[in-house]
Amino acid sequence: MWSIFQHILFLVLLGYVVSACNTKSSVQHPLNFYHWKTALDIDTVQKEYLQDLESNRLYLRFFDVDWSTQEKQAVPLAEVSNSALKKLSIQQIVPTVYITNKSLINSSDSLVLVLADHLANKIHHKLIESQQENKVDEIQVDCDWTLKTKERYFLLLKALKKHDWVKNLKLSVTIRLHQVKYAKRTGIPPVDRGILMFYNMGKVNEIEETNSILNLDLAHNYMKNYDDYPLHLDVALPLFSWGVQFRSGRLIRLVNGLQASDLEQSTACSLLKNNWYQIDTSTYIKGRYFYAGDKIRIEKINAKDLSEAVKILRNNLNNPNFEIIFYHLDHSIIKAYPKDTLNYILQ
Amino acid sequence: MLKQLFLYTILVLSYWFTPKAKACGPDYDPEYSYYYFFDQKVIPNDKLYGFLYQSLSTRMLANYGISEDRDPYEYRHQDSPPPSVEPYTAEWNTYLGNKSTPEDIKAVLYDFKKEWILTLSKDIKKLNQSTLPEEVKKNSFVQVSRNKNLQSIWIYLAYARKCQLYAEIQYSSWDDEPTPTIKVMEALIQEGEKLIKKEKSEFLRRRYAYQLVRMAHYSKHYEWALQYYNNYAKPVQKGSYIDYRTIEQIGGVEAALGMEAESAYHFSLVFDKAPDRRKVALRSFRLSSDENWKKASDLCQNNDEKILLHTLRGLQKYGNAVEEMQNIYRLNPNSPYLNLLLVRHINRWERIAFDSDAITAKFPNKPIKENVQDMQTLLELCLKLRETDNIKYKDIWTLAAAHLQLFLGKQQKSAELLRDIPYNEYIKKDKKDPLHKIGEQAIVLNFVRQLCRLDEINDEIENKFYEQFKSTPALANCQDLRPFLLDVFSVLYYRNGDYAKSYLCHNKLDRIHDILDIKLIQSAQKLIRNRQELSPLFKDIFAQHGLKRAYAKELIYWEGTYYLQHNQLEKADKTFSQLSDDFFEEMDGKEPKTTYLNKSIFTSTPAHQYFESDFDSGVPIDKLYQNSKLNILLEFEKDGHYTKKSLTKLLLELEKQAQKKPKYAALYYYALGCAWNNMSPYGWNRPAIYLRNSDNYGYSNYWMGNSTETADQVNVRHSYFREDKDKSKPLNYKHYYSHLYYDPNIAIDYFEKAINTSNDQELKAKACFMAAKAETFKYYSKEYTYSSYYYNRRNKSIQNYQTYYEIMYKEYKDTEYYKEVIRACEHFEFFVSTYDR
Repeated sequence: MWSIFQHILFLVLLGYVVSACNTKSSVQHPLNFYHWKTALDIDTVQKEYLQDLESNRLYLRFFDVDWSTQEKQAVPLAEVSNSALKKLSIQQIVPTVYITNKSLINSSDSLVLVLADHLANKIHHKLIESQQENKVDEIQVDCDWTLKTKERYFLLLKALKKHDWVKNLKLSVTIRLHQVKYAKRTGIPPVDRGILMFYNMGKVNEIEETNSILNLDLAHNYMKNYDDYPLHLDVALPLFSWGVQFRSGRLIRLVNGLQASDLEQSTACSLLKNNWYQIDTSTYIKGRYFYAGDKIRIEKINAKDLSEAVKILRNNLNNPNFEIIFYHLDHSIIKAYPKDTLNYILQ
Repeated sequence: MLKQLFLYTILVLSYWFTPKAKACGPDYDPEYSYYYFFDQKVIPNDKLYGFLYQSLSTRMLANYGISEDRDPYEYRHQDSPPPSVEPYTAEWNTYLGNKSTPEDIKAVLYDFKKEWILTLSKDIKKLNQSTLPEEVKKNSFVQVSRNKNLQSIWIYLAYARKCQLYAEIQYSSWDDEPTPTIKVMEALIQEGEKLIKKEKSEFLRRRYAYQLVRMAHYSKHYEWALQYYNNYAKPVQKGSYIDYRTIEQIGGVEAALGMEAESAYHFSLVFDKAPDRRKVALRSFRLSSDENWKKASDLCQNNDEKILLHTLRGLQKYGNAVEEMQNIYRLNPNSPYLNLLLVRHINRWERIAFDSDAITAKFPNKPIKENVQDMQTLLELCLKLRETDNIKYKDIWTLAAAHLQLFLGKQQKSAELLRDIPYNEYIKKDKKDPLHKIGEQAIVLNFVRQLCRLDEINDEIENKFYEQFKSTPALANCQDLRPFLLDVFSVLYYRNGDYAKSYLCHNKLDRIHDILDIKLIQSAQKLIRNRQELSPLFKDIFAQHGLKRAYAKELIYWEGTYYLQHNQLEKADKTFSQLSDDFFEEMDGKEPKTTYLNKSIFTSTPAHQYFESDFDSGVPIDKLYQNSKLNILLEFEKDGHYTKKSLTKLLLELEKQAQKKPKYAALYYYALGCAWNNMSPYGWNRPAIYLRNSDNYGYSNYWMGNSTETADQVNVRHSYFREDKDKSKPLNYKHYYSHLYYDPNIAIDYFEKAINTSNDQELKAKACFMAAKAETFKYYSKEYTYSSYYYNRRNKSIQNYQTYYEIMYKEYKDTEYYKEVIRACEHFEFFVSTYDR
């Protein structure tokens, strides 16, 4: 009898422990993704991944805007094709546009107003052409505005907000960490909400840097002014890796998507230490040519750091149930960060 | 406790290290950030100009976190090659039996109206009866075609014009590409097919082939394009320019079809044979695997074509020129592309060595190990090439070797190599002869070498070098040499204690206040007094700067300001008294007013930086003294407007009052302390001694030294060329705030006096807290350097600037002011909340 009781007690306790372990944080974060590639093709694997994560909102880069010396105006570049867009079966889309500072510096105020019109019309037109208009309740602008471009950028946002089609939508922008910390100088963009880009915080060009994408020590330094920041903030978190290529002690380039495994598989390079590799024989790796002697620092994000990042943000952001948008949706990302990993991050 | 200390450190420092440096910080913008002494004009083939090295902007990368493929084809100054129509007009002229002129051919091909061409395409024989303008009728191209009855030319030109319209169709990038164009292009392709089949002239058939391939490419009928190319344009005619335009189209078609190796091979041919399409070919060249590299190499007909692949890879943004040069050397040591990569790579070293990054100490001012290795490898190649038989213009390699030896600090070896170049003989040659340019470059390099050897300067040496510079055309024409000469002189004059001359080598006299230095001001005053004896160099400099005699008064103004800045009030008063009141009013128009926004100079809000916490936190004068014991100060405030002269007098008067009226001494000292806090870089009244018109304006890049000890370390870019100089230390770049002299101890001393002479606990508490503010300024001014900010700040102890917080907490806890401060100042509140833990 005592033995049965012991078993029951053990099972009850075990159940309690298991359920305690499985209990998610009481804080719930909507979880979505950026799609930043020009070629748009969300296949079954990606769809299932999104479904598993209950992610139904895709922040989709529609095109970039850069200054054209030829046309003497800011122009759209690397557009997502309308036909690819038409095939997209995601519940909600947030068309996102990246604007270079050069576009703003070179545009007069009147050209900025024209740009706002072009931008809104272009997005709208693409949505109509692809029959996706009813999936959109927000558009997003991504720009690392500076003190020099602040006025024009804000003018652009105000003009966008007044646009006949956009005025019925939400307008959001990406916000860099320093733009919150130094909000008094950099200003508050006149939009409905901001997406805090919680990455690229380190000094990528310095040899001493260990991980410029997510450096939690530095992240703490940026966690200021969030109490007073008047804009509703949600968060973009990094899910990407890159190789930082150095030659003769100087940064040569960033190789997006380069992973340690790419280098480990190559017979032309060897591990130096930790996340550092050296090219022994000149060769092509992942489409890029590396010369003998080049050194590469692989920077990637681990789940523990991301989890820590979420905790830092929970402690600082006014909005406890902030949405998390991962940058970015890609097959290699799905492989590297399966559903369980992302759920762990959110605990 | 440690954790708390750490958190506190972060909190306090993150508060204090406000974005001054980031938001309005020092964009390093030197007059000359780098020098090119190795001119691309030593390349014998002038069609290869325009491939100078373009450095990667690491700042940009850091800011954006992304890499950006920028154009590796960089022009500089007037060296941009204009788009060339010459090859096209030349081919047409040959076809016309050399009976036309390049101008007339150009007019027909590029300027004739479409209607004119259509008219001529109908019947060239009816030219005289037509209503075409005289400029058409008299055009030699038109006349030759009529005389020879070359109707087919006009049929082709009319067709080409129609294609042109769709090949270069202009529509705004914001609009969708008009779809009907595809259909029109398809119709044009059909028309072209008919025409090419009828055409017998090979010359015109190749042009039709180009149009067909182009239309098929742009209408995305890639397979058709390949077919037209194979049927009509192959084999490529030797010397036919239009064939390379067709190949360029095929390169694009192959890229679209994923035929990377073929595409790269074809673009490399275009790069070689069509100078005006070189830029496009370089941009379009892409190989992304060892397999495709081999495939492209296998397509090459000979070693010279293989060299093109190496050249284009070496010219890419991330190319390693030295390795590609070694590859090219093995294939053909006489390849002109070796010269191109050589010049580009040496320019790269010049850029790195003299780049502003070197000044900001990010990179040490000496070749680091890997750099030396790279230079040595290139040097070996240069030495090997100058010893190789049958090398054309061998002295380019001698020159390059001499330059590299200089980079490696081997003065003697560099001199020996330069001696081997018969430059006096070379410069006698025609200016178009590449040897002439090599001779000029050798003279420039030798001059640079001699300049770098200078250890001292005096009038005689200065005159000798300057005279040589001015009277030698090769030197005077080298645009980077003058700033370099001044750079060297500047350092040497600094070492001599001739500060004004040192300063004037790079700065204008009217910006002298940017780095207010009494030695410099007095040196400038002396120089102006003796201006009749100026050397030719400084006469030229003064002439360029437009120096006026009246500037002597401004130097007095700045001298007085210096004394005020250092609280040497008697001296300041005496100096200012040499100038009229009107002069101060006039100067107020040129720089920010000593006080502005009508904020009292005696303001003492608990906020640490007035303009950080709230722009309105400065208290208007009339409100400051209401119901306050401080109303005793009101009589000194007047209307709150001061000139430096009246401010000096006010401060002197307060000092005197403190001596005369011991009863109020504490108040006067307190007021003086507040005034100094407000004149700090963090206060409203900072323009009194903080001398910059704006936070970015007037930064003097070339005046780094505050003492002669640093003169060896600062501003010595030429020591890069000196093996005997210690280059182990990075350049002593100082954050620009370090130029802004402010001594927080002046304020602290006054607050100490206020505490010591007062019996009023409330006033003592106020003085104590204000001393804490000044103490923090002190830490801020001393410890803060931009470069060490990120990595070191967490390690800094905060205890050395919290002494007055501690006193405040321990001794003035019961005062009303303490309660006010606890509410108003989050730092102090945090300090108190963590103090005992």
